[in-house]
Amino acid sequence: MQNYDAIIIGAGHNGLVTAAYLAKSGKKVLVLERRPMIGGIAATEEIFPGFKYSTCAHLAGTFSQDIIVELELKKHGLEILPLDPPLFAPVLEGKSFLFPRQHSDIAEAIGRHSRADATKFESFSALVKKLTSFLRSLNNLPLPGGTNSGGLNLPELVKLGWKFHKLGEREMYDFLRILAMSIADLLTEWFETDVLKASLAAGGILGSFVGPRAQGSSFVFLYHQLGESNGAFRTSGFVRGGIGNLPLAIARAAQHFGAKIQTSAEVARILAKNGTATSVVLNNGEEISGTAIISSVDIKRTFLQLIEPTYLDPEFLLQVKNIRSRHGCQDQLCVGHPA
Amino acid sequence: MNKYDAIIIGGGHNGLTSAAYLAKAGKKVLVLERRHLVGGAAVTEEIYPGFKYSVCSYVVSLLRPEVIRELELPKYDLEIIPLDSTFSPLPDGHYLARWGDHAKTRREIARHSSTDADAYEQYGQLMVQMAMAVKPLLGIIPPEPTSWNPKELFGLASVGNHFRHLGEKLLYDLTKLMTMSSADFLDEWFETEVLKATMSASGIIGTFMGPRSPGTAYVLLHHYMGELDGAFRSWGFARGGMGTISRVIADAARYFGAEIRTSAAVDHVLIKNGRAYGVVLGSGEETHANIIVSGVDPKRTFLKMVDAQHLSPEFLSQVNNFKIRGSSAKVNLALDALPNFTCLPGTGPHLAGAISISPSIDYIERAYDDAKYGDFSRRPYLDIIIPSTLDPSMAPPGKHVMSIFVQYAPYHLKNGTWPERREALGDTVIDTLSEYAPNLKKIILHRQVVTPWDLEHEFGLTEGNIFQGELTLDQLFFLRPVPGWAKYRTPIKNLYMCGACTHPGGGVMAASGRLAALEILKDWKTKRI
Repeated sequence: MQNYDAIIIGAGHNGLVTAAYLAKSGKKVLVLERRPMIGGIAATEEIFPGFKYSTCAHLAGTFSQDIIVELELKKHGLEILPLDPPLFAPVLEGKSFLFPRQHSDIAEAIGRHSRADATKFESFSALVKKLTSFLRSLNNLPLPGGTNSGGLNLPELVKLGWKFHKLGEREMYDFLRILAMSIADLLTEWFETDVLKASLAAGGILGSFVGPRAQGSSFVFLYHQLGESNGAFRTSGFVRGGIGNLPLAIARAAQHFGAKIQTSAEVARILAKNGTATSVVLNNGEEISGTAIISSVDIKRTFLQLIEPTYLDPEFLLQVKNIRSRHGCQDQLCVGHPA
Repeated sequence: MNKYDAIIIGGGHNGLTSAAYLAKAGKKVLVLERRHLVGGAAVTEEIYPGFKYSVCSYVVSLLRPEVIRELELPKYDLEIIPLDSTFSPLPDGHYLARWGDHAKTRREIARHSSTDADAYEQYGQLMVQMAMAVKPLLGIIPPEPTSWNPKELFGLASVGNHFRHLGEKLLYDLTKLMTMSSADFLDEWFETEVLKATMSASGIIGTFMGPRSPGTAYVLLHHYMGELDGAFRSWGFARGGMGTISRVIADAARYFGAEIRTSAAVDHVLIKNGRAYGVVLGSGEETHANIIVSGVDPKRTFLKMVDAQHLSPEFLSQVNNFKIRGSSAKVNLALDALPNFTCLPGTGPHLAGAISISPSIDYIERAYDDAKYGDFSRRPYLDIIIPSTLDPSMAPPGKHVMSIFVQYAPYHLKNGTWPERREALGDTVIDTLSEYAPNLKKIILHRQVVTPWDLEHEFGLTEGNIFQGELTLDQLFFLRPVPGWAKYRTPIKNLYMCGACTHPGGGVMAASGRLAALEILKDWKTKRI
């Protein structure tokens, strides 16, 4: 039986990134993927001859710039093409709204619909940028609680407080207030043009089971700006060759650092001994042991399907069952010209 | 030398409470009320001869025990009659009832689902724990989260510390409760639709949200806050109607020497060099005082009573952004007899508590859908009590009054105006209730419909919002009513706020009035006034 430092379940882009970082630091890593190809929902497939579908995810705007640099993904073939223009919103009455990529042109485009909105857009973008950058520093903190029971220590707290204060008095309150707001309310405070509000609000509902009038959708809106934000729009970038090239580049980086990736290898169970995970069993019965087992599949699949319930505290199981993961929406259309 | 130390604008229960505390501390206080009677939205009026309506608010739940104690309210004849059952009739002839008697409730829920009956017990315990955890926040003055001032930092740290000491489990539960929708939160606990729906309804009262809107679970807690106090039961009915509460607070204020004038509408506040020094009444009469305390909402105060030149554009835009959408209406009925519910015919204890028309979460969410697009609900959520079953003095012998809280009725209608559509709303409410109690139409002697427009025009609540501003996370604690001005002070010196628009918010609690007065007295003590 082989032994690895780390076994990663699932070769989605998160699993691969973890694999690459662990391999980079010299660990012996194995990634196990159920499907014949890697990428998870970041996949490009030729389902209809000659047409490459990005089957699920299609944009990679929020992908971290730091990871691209640290794993040298460009060297491994990743190229992200900026969307230009970032957004075209057709309106039924024959009108449309086109947001140019050049920041300086945005005001003019909005001005065609409302002068007031055009003048406000600049400061709205500035506010969003400011709040997002603070949110980014929160995102990079290890979370308190759980086994990390020490939680935030005092120096970290002071540092965070300092960053918070650097936002400015008005913005500090804005941050606290806006996080809890609905995106519809937030945008109504700023703008009057409905299609502008709707186009921006889309960033607040993507992938969640809430409407634009639901509280908390402003947070989702800010969350979509976490990547290379260009102001108020959902960051968007298209991967050359389809989104599937993103996990391919990460996989190449991981392999470059020595990680092993095995496709068509479905993990059936995670085995544990005395509360410690020890190995995984594949569908074909093969058992592979690892010092650390890292699951990149969702929490329900991990704890409700892969692990024997006897290993788990009933209360923990109940909490896992209560996690909401409702389907939002994902559509795929193929548009082409007859040859 | 001013004749008065303080003038209070508006004789609602919070204004009266502030007046009583200031007068108790020896200040000379004048309360100015626009209407012919005090009480604001906590009034009892005999609109139809012999029948007493609690025109707006209709139950008392959270009236702070320290206010009752410190102002010695029982001395002025305050009696709260417990309202301890909730009866939810269903369209298919079934019903769910929750009684004051715990064992009876358990048996009743078990009739629908035995797992829910078990869960109900645990749920109650958890909610009580969480309510105890949150409750102290209602009694403190919010610290400023943006200040480096050691006093403020200490305040923040002690709030943080309070939560840290709750233990990990409770803290996680509380975090979930603060951010989830009441439908999702209750789904984790129960399976019986009508039980979830009736409970979720308490999460939407007075808000412009549906049971599936995140943030509504927090409001569920409010129902458990009052139940902890030993003084009396949380949900209750004041003998003589809601006006009794205002009357006893006014009596206490007068006892301490405050002067209360009704039919005295304030037109604007007098300000010189950024300092308030008096008010001008609608009649043109000028009255001066060292400080002015506004018990009306911030929009009315700063957009109508204060000249814009005294305020920064930024502050004004924050006031404009304060969300105060009205979402509810009230229908008061004089009845010749008691309603007869198809699912539980005849009279009985189910008519002496709350009656809730909330058959399913979908029903309430659909009611919200109508409101989202600018119409009142075709089938609204109704919360009903029949005060005369508890206090026979509310109606002539053998007759009854019925108080119906209606949600949703948005202030901004897409079609028509409220004066045009008022009776259509009344008809919808009666039609809805008649589906459960078919004899209703035959026993109505008189009907009063109070729309959000009426709440604004008659009672001075901007947009008809019953909480003087929505109780959503972005408008609570140190963000209420305007970020940076959560401590009852305003950008204008000697002008204060004491209404439900300030922390801790709406409900007949009197907490805002009390905390405002305490903060004002602090300023007096430190010679800032």
